[in-house]
Amino acid sequence: MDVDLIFKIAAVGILVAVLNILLSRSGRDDQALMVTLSALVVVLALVVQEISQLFDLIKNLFGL
Amino acid sequence: MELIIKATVIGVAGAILTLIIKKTNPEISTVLTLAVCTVIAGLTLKAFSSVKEVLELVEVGTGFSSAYTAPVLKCVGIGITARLGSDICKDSGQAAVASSVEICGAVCALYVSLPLIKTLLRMIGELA
Repeated sequence: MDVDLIFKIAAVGILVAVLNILLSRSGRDDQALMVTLSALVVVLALVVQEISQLFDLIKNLFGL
Repeated sequence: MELIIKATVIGVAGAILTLIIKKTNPEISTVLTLAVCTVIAGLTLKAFSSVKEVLELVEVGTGFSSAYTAPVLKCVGIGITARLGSDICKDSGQAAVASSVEICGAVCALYVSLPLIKTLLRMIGELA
């Protein structure tokens, strides 16, 4: 649960946006799609741990 | 209370970063929104745990049964979870998924409060 997580994800997103534009300008749309997909997987892996921590916190706090 | 300032800063920074990414990668911007929500909700709920301690103190002091307060707390948890989930679905343009999550939340809240309703009905039965 930290602010670093948000900046990490934003950095990955901006990097992927630039790569995406570069690759699609040079006519490699398929590679651009692969880059986007892999970045999505990486970012999801980052977030999923935090979400599971949040759900554990909610479960403990509210006795669900 | 620096928590509210923290939450505001995280929220605004996250919103601006989301706007930057949204043009080219809408899917990553949704994940970023999810991360912002998770971080802010985590901060908030950590602060709420001290409120819960006071609630437990009140329960112990007044002898008020936790059978009455537990469903209320559970409903709050279900409401927070369902609302966050449905709003994230709505933000990514899936209104149907959002409303199904909301319906699930309502049903879960009803299910959790069933013991309370049963107790109330039994009480009315004893009075009549």
